[in-house]
Amino acid sequence: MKKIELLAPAGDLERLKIAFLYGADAVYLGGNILGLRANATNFTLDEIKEGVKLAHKLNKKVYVTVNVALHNKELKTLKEYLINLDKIGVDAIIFSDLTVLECAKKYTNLALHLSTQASTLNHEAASFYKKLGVERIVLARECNKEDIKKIGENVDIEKEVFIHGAMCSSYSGRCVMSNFLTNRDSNRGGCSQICRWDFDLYKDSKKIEGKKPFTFCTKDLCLIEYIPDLIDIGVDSLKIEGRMRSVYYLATVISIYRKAIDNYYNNKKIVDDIDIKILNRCANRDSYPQFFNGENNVDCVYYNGRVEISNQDFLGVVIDYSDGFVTVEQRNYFKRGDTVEFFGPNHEIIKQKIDEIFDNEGNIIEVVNKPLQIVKFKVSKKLDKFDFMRKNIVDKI
Amino acid sequence: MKKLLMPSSIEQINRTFELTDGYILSLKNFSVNAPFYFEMSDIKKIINSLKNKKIFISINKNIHENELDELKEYLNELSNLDIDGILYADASIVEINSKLEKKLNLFWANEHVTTNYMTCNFLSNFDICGVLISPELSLREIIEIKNNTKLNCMAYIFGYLPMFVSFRHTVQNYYDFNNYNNQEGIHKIYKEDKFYPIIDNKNGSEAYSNFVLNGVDEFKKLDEVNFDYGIFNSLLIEEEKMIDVLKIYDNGKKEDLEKIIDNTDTGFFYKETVYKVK
Repeated sequence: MKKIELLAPAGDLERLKIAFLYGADAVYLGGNILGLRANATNFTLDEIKEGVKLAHKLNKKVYVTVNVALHNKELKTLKEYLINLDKIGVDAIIFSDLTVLECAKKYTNLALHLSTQASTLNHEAASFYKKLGVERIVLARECNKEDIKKIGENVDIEKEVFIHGAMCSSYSGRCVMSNFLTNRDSNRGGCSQICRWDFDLYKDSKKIEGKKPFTFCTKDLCLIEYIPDLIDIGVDSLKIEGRMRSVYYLATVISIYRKAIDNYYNNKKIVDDIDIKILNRCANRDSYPQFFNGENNVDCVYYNGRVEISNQDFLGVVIDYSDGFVTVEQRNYFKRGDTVEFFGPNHEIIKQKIDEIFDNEGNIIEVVNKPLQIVKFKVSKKLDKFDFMRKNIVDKI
Repeated sequence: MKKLLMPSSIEQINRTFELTDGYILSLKNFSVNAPFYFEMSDIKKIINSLKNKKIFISINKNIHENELDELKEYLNELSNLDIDGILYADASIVEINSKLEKKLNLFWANEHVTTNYMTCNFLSNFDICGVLISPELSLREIIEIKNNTKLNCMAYIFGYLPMFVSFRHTVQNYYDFNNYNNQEGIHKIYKEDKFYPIIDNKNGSEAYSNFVLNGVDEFKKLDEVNFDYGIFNSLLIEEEKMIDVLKIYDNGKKEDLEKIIDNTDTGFFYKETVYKVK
């Protein structure tokens, strides 16, 4: 039985490494051109090369997004870029504009994954794309379980499904509010997320007064409890959204989904309540299964707009452990006497009460309140580089 | 350049007959971004009654799996009627068309991603004979596409422009959130001194530009390069005014349109969008 793929976002090389370390089987990333996150850090060709090298060493994969709707003037950059990606050995490109497919087939051997931007919702469309040489389709986020199943029953093509993260309010590719309100082209990577703005709603010149302002904003998607269903209906790849999210977010989300997938194949309980709570907590936003169960109603909407109250759970990254002492790079305030948790890919959650804290020069300090401050303190159990330190949330949520 | 009207009623077709070269009729439940949605039976009657006019049927919604059977029936029916083409967005229509005994002329009309000539030319391999070019392109880019493709080209030339299509019932959701009874009909969302029309319907919701596209001058410029079709969207335009609008595009000036419509704008004709801001 082929094991389902866990596919994670990689905003840069650090996040690519974290994604693999925490259990992703593959990552997707954007190069410096023709991707839909034009304002993210993104990868140079050299960085993509390094990422691919690392991935292949680990027997993992790298997919590169080339998913903009190209304008005439961008056409001339396409051929050379695709040839370079092919030479680097990326495992597939994710595209939506069919001229990318045509060019890739003509000049390269790149595998072709159709982006969710194409909003594939049915098997006839899937069949059309398969005939064009598409190996995998990232299905539209409006697909429900039955839709996914029927597409699989009718067309022999790989199916990738979003399982976690932010959602577009519109059908992908059919929103240009960003163009109209901010002159930033959403279908070329400039989306200014108008769907998260607040508006006033009017009917016949009269404002509808509500508990909160009108918004298009959706809750985040979360399908952690539906991993068995997704595997059973023949999905090939489970995709986590978020190329611009933090390393902590990535590590948390990937590790919980990794555990759930492995538990399924090992006939264990898929997920513990505490994992669901941690998952919900790390984005600071409400989440919901969205359309997966056929729902399409007010429960899918997030009326808090852009308000995302930071819980500052993420306290630091482990950069070393030796002789019973951990070296941590600070991300949020903590102090002597706090009980904290460490989590990582190689061990269960480790709880630790912080005793003496030493700064870089060996001085004892009481509080760690400087961004990226390097400190040391005693931890009884062995930790690894790239473990994460967070508040003691397991006992509190 | 031929003038195609998206009518806001059946009656409007009769009233504008002398002023247009044809019509785009949006099929009820299978199209979006239209001022009026036609039953199949009405479409048939209109086809029978209209002579020497271009008739296009818009089936431009995203098609869900459970809509395929009905869609196939409609496409089969339409393939036996005297129409000039189908405006489509979902690739399922290309696939279904390939299996029809009598092929339909397809016009790729997924408004916001029809943005370059190479994709147009690639699609010409699949019984696709036309394209509705994205209204977010500049006039220069639109002409460049026309000059580099053999496909018939369509462009919006008048009316509110579509900017958002969702499966979600965004207005209904807001009423539900507040425990209010929904008030049917067109709403507007307001931001930074501008109002944007928003409409909930069976398919979800649609939102439009805060302005009415004024393309009187551009209509003439496109005509000079033998552009094929200019689209007039009558959404939210009074029927009487629509007659005047069509006349102005024949003989009038941009300023004449400004006199009868309050909030006109040239949209993206002279404004290229950006995407990299860092």
